[in-house]
Amino acid sequence: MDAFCLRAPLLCHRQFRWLFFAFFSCPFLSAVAQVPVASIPQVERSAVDGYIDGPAAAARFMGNLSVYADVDGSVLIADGSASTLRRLDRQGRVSTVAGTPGERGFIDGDRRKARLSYPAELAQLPDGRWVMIEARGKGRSENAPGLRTIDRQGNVRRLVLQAGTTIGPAPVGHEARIAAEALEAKLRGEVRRAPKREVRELAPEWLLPSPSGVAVDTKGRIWIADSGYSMMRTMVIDTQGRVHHWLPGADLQLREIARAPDGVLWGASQNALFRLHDDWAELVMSVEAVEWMYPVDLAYPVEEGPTWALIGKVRFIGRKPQPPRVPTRPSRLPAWFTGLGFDQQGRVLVADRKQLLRLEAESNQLTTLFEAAESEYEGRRYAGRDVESLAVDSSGRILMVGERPRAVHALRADGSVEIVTGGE
Amino acid sequence: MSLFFPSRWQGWYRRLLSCLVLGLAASGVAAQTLSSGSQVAVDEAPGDLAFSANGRLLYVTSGSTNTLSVIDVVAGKVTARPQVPEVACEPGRSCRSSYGTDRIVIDGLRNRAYVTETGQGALLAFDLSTRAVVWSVPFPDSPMAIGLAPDGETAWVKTASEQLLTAVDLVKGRRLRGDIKLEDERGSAYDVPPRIAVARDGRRIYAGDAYGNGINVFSTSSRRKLAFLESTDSPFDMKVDSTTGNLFALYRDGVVEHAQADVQPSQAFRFCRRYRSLNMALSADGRLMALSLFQENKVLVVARDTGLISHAFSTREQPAELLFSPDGNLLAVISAGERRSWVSLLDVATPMDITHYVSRHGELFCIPDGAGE
Repeated sequence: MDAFCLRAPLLCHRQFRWLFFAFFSCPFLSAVAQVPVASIPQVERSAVDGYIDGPAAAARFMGNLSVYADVDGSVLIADGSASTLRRLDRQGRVSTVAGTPGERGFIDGDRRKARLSYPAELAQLPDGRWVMIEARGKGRSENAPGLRTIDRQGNVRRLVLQAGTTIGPAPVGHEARIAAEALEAKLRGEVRRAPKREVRELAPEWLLPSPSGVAVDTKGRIWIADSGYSMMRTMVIDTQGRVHHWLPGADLQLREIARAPDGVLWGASQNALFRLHDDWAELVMSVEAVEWMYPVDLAYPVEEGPTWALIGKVRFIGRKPQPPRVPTRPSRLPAWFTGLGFDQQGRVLVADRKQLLRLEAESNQLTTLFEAAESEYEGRRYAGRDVESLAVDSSGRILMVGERPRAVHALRADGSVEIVTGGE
Repeated sequence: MSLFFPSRWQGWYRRLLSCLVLGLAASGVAAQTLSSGSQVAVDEAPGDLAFSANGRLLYVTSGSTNTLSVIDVVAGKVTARPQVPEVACEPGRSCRSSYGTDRIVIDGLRNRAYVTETGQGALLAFDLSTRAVVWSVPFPDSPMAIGLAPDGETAWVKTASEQLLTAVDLVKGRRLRGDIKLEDERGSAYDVPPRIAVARDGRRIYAGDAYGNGINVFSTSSRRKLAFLESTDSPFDMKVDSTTGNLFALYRDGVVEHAQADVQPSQAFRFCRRYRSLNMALSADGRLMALSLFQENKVLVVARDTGLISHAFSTREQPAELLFSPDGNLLAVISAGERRSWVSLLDVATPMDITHYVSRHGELFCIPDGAGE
């Protein structure tokens, strides 16, 4: 259908499409007649089931959503599963900005030609364009995501990058904070990577092996949290397209980066928040990671082998038998920051698994704004979904994805959520 | 971390970091960090290691470069890399050029190393002072296991495909008559390396049986089979305790100790959970036993009398063969990676606080329910 529409766009124009369908569906006109005619110009149904543009209440998404506030007051919604980028405008209508639902690809071009590939992370450039992280490989987790830009007209262009240098010395204060285990990891792996070799080995396609978070600073530089070479590192793309390794020795392990309204860049690691400066990082707060492990004896029971056959026949040496340990979960799992944003007052919002938290500037403590509740279905209890993406729109509403995977929610004042757009 | 420093500072920087970690460990601050000991880079594809009689030197074979890395264990560095001369491939034989030296035993009396050469299929006597091959005994296939008799005059060799245990006269450098014929003609199993061990008195030789699932016991004088220790598996490794003469056999679920007198199981060490270990070492003083856990890049040392962990170490790469120094104060471990290979020199004389490790990972050996104490 889409290929046909490309050749004969007039027939697929929304004003005439119902005529087209009626012509080819004569034997089934009675069935077509049951569709409310008034809904045709308002709702744009796609060839893909469950993908509908139109009023926010009627719009439907395919899933793996992430939300971003545009400076013009609208909200961009990356519909990852549909491989499209969509916009929720201030009038409350959802439209497709780029990509064709269900047609995945890493193809540049205008709005019609361009194909997107699981768009996941976006940040807005000073000129209004968006920089976008997509998966180039077969899956979203494929280790070859790419960076592209998209302008307001829906034109998608690949970023041309080239190898740069490293930025800044290692912050001594932070180095002292690194746990001994991290040092051990460094001794094992990272020390082997000399700076010259790293720059030399960075072929253009592999400059950013696995970007996961992106932000644009006030100078127009693109900051990227990238898990290249099995280590989380932070890369900075300057306005010339050169990629620099920022604080290569700092081992901050940033997963999310975002720019606050005052222009300061913030970064979130698994359990810590940082302010990011040109050549140093400031640790603002960290959540103590509660260590929890499934008892290894129970997780990997020993096999029945030659010694098992000797039980009761010979003397055994080792730890005395102990009562079986029952795995008990702690009240709270270790912190796992997955989203970073700012409210209208500039306070830091962070998503931590099933919680939406706010960093209070005075106390430097995290306040829980929302926590996904467990659900019950047919007598079974299910854990609430993680908060996967968050943004604050022009009216100050905190938007997030997570409660339902194909909907965008807004946080109410009482801590509950309401659906802004999308559905089951 | 090293990315800040020019390449010419890399060596110094690594040392600085190593000192930092060791210092932290010594001060107790880094109680959560496993020590990696002193790491010595060796040539590619290390196969086996052996200490000199006085324990000052450690010899490591390299199958890729056909060299012996000679490590001064006090200085913690390689002092020499003598090349083991290649053995000429006999006409009509299929020799594998990509294989080289593998197993090694040291004859301190004659200052020789007996090295198996797996490419051409030979046992070499390598003079450690002149660095020359004294003699070479060819085999029709790659020698995969070697056991030295206590008198130092005979070695027993098991090749990859031959179902024989061949005795070699180490004085004259020739095969002795009267091979021990292994009963199973199917050859060695691919997943279980052939293992042999010679009894402390030299009168018996133990050979793992991968198909029969057990250990064959042969008389070295009559060449006859004395017993078959039936089990559910073939051992991954076998060692003879120099103090008691007992045979220790490492299996997938633990270690079984066989009494020297009747070769029957006398006691057992059963893993607390699933581990994967192919290599075991016993200290000469009978105090310690060490196992390399290749899936976890760890080496655990246990006290033989209690079966409890006394030392825990991490290695850079997968740990393989390991060996205690003659005085039992040092444990040398091969850890070979794709790019680099190392020998870790681990201090097992100094007591180690392993409380944190045990609380997190548990003990290595546990007395199973129903076994009593």
